[in-house]
Amino acid sequence: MSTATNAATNGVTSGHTFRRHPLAALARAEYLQFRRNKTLMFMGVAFPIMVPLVFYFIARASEDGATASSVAAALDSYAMYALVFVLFYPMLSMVTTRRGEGVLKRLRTGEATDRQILMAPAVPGLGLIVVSAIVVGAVVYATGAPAPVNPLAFLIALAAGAPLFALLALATSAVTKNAEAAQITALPVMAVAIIGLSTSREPMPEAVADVVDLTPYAAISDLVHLGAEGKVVGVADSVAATDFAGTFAEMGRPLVTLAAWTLIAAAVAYKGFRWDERE
Amino acid sequence: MSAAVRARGLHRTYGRGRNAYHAVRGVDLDVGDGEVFALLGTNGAGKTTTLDLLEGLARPDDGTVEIFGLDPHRNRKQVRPQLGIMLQSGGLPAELTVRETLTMWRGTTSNPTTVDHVLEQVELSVRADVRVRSLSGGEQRRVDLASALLGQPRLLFLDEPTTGLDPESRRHTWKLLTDLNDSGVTMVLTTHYLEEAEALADRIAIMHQGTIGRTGTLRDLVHDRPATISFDDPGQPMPPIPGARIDAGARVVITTPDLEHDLFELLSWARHRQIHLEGLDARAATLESVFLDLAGETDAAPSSRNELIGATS
Repeated sequence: MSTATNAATNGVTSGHTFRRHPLAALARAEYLQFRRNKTLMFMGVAFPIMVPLVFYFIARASEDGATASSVAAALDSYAMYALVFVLFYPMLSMVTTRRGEGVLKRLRTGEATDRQILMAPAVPGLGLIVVSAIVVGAVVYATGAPAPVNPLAFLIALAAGAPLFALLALATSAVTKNAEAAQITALPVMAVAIIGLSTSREPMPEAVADVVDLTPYAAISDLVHLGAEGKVVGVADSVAATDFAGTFAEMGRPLVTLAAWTLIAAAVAYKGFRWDERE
Repeated sequence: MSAAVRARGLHRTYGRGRNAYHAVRGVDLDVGDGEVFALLGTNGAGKTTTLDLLEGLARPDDGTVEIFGLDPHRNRKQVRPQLGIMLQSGGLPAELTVRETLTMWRGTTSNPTTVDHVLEQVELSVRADVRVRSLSGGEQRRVDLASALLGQPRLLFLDEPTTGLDPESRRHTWKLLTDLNDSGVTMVLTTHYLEEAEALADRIAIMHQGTIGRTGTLRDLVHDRPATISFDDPGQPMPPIPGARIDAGARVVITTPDLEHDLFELLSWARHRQIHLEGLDARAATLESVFLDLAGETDAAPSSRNELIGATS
């Protein structure tokens, strides 16, 4: 029996206090596991960086060059891939795997809070989003794209989108048996996100588009377009873009939409979440 | 001895209506500070549910629990740092190494010892950089125990801590738990191995169908139980000893509340007649007989002495 344990169990601990950071410890462990999952790593790096840049460089090579509108479409695809393939899907897969392994239940016996346990699987994806956003933004705007009308709108789009898609991952995991099943159960959220892209919404009849505008990703797409070109999706090309101040006024509807979906996702996640496979 | 654990009138039902299952039906128990308390019982007796309630992982439908005087569910923040909990199964991330897993656990605790220290305690230092999924079941169980020890708990809850361990690792774990107990750690454990309860526990409670049938020290539990004398049938008229019978294997079996007296009678008779009693065996009551009586399985002879109840669900 070592003296270290003896001392501590007798309550005679040494002077210094250990500063615990449960979320950091759990997030670091999740990051290690994310890195070891080749599928998640490929999705998390290739999709959000490669796909938007390919779109952008194709637009750039066209006759019109990189217009505010084509840059907006490329960044729109970036935000979709980031939130769905870097945050939502990996988090769904990791939370479901951790539940299957009994890790969630086991962690709940310790000192970490429920919130810390559930936030940890979001951290690797959030980190990758920060990195990929900087890479994509830097490449696009350093190679001659028209300056954004409101760069803050990009930040707001990602900052409001991240909690929503993390909660959607928790809500979806309630109906997901294991990591393989996630490939199916993730489809509704993925499909709705793809429908919300500007490239999906623009060809839609107005009546349909009005409804689709209220879906979770469409609201984020509108924020991205406000940032890049100063108008939301569906506004005719002939209508002049609003200025920096004007974009803030336009953010009202998408932000209310996002707030509503965030509340709904939180309620479903709270009600349906299972910590233990056998529950 | 002050109380580490105090439970009164615990009830817990799973499900509702027709499917309702009343897993725990009025459990009272006290565990003193520094004590090792073992919960024995058949599968489905309610041991794990009782532990869940004591640990504060679940709330009782009725009744109260105090851990060091605090409600483990409501005062989770104060209680949890003092506890080390090992669940009945699993809970380790397959793709992390042993060291990474323990480092993660360490980061969640407020008064941790070092990872190297717990690795030494469970004798896994050489396996520190192996992924959890590559470990044997017994090694995973020891990582699980190491996780429970990282926070230097005052009170350990161990749900079948040595299930799946080879005999040598089991002995080692017993030694480790005994050492921890010597340094003041209180323990509540469940086990399928009666031998384990005998080796570790100061007091033993036997659970059956959601209630605690009997509680006491090993000696309390067996002292009023009949002892057994057996030997091969010598084929001679025997002295009149009550409770004697001849079993199917042509052995004389004497069940007696007074082992010393009956054994003396028997041996005197044998010496007098100059009879050699082949295969003579005399033993006091075992925990096993107490257990089987309570579980209502006295008729069926167990196939193995150590592992009565078989695999867990």
